[in-house]
Amino acid sequence: MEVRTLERKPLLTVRNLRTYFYTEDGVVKAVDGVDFEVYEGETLGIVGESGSGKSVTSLTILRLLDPKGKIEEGSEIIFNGKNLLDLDDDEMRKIRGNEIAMIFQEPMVALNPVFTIGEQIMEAILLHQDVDKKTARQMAIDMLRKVGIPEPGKRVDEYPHELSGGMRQRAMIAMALSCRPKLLIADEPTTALDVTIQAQILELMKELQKEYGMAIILITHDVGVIAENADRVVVMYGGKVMETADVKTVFKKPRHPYTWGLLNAIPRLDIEQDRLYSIPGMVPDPLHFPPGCRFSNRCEFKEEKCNIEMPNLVEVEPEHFSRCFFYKKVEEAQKIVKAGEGA
Amino acid sequence: MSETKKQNTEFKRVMRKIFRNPSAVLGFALLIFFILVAIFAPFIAKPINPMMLDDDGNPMKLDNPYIMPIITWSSEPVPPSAEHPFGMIQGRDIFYGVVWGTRTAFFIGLTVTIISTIFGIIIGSIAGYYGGWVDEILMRITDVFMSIPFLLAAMVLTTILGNGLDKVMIAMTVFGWMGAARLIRANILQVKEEQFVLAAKALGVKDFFIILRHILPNTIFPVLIQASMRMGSLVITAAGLSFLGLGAPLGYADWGSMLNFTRNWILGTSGSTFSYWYAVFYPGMAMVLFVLAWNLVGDALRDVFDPRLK
Repeated sequence: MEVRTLERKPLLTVRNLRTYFYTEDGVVKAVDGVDFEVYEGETLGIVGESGSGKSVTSLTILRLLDPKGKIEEGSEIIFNGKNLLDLDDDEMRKIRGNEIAMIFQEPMVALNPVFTIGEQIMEAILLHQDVDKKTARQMAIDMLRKVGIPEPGKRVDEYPHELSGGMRQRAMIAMALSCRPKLLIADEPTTALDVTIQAQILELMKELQKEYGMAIILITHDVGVIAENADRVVVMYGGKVMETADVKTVFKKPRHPYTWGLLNAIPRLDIEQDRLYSIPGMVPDPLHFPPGCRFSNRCEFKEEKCNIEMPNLVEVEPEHFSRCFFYKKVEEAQKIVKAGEGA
Repeated sequence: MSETKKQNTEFKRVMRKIFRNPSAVLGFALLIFFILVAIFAPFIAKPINPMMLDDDGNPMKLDNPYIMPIITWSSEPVPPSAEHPFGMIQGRDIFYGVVWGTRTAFFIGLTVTIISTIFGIIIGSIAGYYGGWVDEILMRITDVFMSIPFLLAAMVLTTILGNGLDKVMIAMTVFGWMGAARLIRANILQVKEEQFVLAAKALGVKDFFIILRHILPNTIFPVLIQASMRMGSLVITAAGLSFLGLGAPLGYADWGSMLNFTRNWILGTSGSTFSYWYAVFYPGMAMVLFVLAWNLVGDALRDVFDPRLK
């Protein structure tokens, strides 16, 4: 906020985003005061466990929540200078798919089984571009070629069930990128795929990002995927941003116990490990967050203060924010661990 | 090119499935038979009145072929003969009535089924897709309509509107859409949670097209099967109303109103109960076979399209 490098322009600015679900059991604060920005052409990784609010954040940006979910007053989603929350439904529809596109976790079910993939890509093109069907079809074929589908002229007439999982995800990407969006939201795009296919898909997304100059929000629980693909990282927990910085900083010197826990949970080959570390406890029920810091019931650095007060997101160094009172303790602990490994 | 090939194999699969199942074959054969009879009715039973001659001495053409001509003044049923293979009743040829009644049956069945199914699909889609209070209101209205016994409601409405085949059809449409609405709503509730619906929304597709293009094609078959099963039963209901004197006017080529003629003769004469069997048998048989045909076709379609039986 304060010391931003000024030459970069944020494409998307999310301010105090709060999405609450009004259920019969109470109010679920799925996203509770999230701030971040996405700059043009960069990849922002949002990482967190299931239930941390990362998918709801992405659906909120596109305003695709189901009727129970409400975006609270005071939230701002500023895209290209416009607050998306002020737009009416028609204006919002023109942004969806055209300027902000989304791809989903399950390529098996994110394509309509009764239409050929060509028809589905054409639908997106015809919706947002003023072209005739023949041109749209040719554009669909070109798009399929671009995402690396062999024999696109033939595949364009095939149904989703005739394609493999990786091919389907490629088709999904073709569909999402057919209108050259400025921002692509990828919600767990590779989670359902084999590891080898995962790498190919992520590589493809990188290439297309370079070519189109679009920004990507990459949502995943896989810290490894973030490490290789994101420029900056937002770590979410319990509907709040816990830590945010550029990817190297987050991985080299995490300043939040939750981030550190996530990083420790990655299997390592360079040191002897009897058991893989896991963060103790479970993500709390969003209806019953602990008072004070939402991570306090699982935190190894917890002190009395954490039970009472929710820490603010503080800038621990330029462009590195952490929501922890005791980030210095985390730093100390890391030094000790590093020293131990070095010895 | 590959698409046409694929459709061919899909078509072949459906055909194989149908022809492997004898009851399906019977159903389709009966249906085709009825369709042929309906199409060729003017040739099978010529719409002429042999009692009246025109200027050239030929039997006069009927103005309205659906009004069965009176060809004898005997009101008692006349047994089948070579000239009148199904016999005569109330001075009218039963064969003529059964043949032209096929057209009436198709007309009633198709019109009522199509209109009420489309109406049901619209109501059910809106209720299922939007949910919330829209759903609540539409479904309670549906419940109200369902709570009234169908035959009674149809009878009351026909009485209010006045007699006539068109009134019967209006009544059956007004009280016949709820099944389709409930079915489509239930299916849409399921399909709308699918991710491809969310994906379509994320592409900026309008609600109307999401329902029409993305949801309905994935959920329409149960409704079509239900509709084909209802085709038959609607004809029975229409016949029932006609039998009660609410439907087609007297002498109209309609299976139900032909049965109306037999009311006085159903019990036969004293000593021989079945002496007027033909008066009930032929129109009744036509009706039974018609219903059977649609039910078997409905069954066959379900077998073919039910993914669990694939």
